Amino acid sequence: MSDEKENLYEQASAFQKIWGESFAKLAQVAFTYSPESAPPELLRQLRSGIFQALGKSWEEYMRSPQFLDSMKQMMDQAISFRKATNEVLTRAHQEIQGTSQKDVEAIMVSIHHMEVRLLDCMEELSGRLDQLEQRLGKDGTKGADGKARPSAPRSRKTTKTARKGTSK
Amino acid sequence: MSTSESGQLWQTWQDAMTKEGFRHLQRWGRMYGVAEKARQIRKGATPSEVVYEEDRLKLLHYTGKTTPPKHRTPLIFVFALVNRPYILDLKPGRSVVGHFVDQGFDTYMIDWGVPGQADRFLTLDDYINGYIHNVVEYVRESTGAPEVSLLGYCMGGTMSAMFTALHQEKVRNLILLAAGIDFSTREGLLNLWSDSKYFDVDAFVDAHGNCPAEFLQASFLLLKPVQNLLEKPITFYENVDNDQYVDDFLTMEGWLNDNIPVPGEVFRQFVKFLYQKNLLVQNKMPVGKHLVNLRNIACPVLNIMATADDLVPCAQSQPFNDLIGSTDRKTVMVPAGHIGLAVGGKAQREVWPEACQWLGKRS
Repeated sequence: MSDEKENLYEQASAFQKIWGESFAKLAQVAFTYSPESAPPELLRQLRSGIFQALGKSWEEYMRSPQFLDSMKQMMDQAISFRKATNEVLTRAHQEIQGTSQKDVEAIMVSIHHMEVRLLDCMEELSGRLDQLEQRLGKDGTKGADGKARPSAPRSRKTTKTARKGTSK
Repeated sequence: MSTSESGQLWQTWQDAMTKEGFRHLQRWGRMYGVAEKARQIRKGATPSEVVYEEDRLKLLHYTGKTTPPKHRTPLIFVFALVNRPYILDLKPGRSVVGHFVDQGFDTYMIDWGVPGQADRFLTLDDYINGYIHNVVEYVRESTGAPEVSLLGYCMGGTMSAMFTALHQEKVRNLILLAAGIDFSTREGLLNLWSDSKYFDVDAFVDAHGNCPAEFLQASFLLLKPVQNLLEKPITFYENVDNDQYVDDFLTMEGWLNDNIPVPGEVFRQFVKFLYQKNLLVQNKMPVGKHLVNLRNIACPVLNIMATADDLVPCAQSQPFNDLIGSTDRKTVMVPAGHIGLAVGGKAQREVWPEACQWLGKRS
């Protein structure tokens, strides 16, 4: 508990330091004006200086361990919430004997694995065919320089549709 | 300060305030037309047709003025998976594609489409050895060219580099535009935020499926919060009476807000293998059953990067030329941001004509 408090105190003081410095920079910018400048121009100069100082402070803050830790905490909470929502929805779908996203994804994973296995088999067969062709004298595996080409990975997909039509 | 001087100063201040007051009224009058203008914004500048489709992917072929094309090797643009690709053909005078088409290149662009939940299990292998490979094969078959040139932007550049390393015999030239290669740098905030200490990518993907577009957009906005959330709207308001500015702004904003989700597994692999483990520079990056060895890249390489890039800092792209096997390699650094590199005035005037020349000599 005391560790938590200490951590919280450290975060708060780091946050305070960064913003204290930013406001000091803002004040510096605000007091470097000349009375000769007309108000709109003067305000633009001030604004530009203020934004520059703010930009720097933000950049510093977003790099600080305090920000990174709080970002992680926020992300973890968002992920937990999403997971809980997914679980509730899945259960609701299952209760009404419907198809949940989880079921669809399980089917998709199975199809994907099957596709990978088939493509791997085809790749192996294709490699064997290349070897056979080489033995039969059809030197398809040699480059222009006569040296054997290194084997390149094959296409993962074989379906393609050529279609013509204007896009705009 | 004398009395007359201070009186004059007061007069100047009064005049300036009155003028500014009227300008504000004019601007408010103009604000009503902005929504209508935003609706009229057109995407894309160069005429194109869809020549190949696979799942959600569409391959656009740009129809140029010079038929047949002046150069023998076709050029394929490979865009990132996080945004829509029309940024490369935004509007007349701001089109990277337009430069290449006008110079007589047979130009194609991959539009990945918007992935749905059904695409969450697609991996980098599916994209690189699947989609990109099939597109390259289609272009080779339809044009009769033995090789193609690839131009990859951002994440598309990283994927193009991996494709070239795996299929070097099919790529004649490689142009990288702000492509992340060496992820060891902590110069960029994204590199820091995606550190495994702070970001559990497995839990994130398991819970969300695809990486949501809103999450990406929020992360990009947070890279420069003051500039994006304060300065930008104010500058827009101050220039609302400048039609050219408004048109450019709305076109750009339209594109920036047109984020798309990234397939979950691709996001997982990209973050884990690149941002967290930096495997590509170690030649240990797995793509399917294969490991990417950047030394296999032997073709001419043009590596273009932006010095003020907050998304992909130069330190992330620059090491690439030293990691490849090619001897014909060139680095171009442009004083611009990540998007300015494509559509910025300087890039349009200087970088792209030079890139066209570089590619023309090698095509």
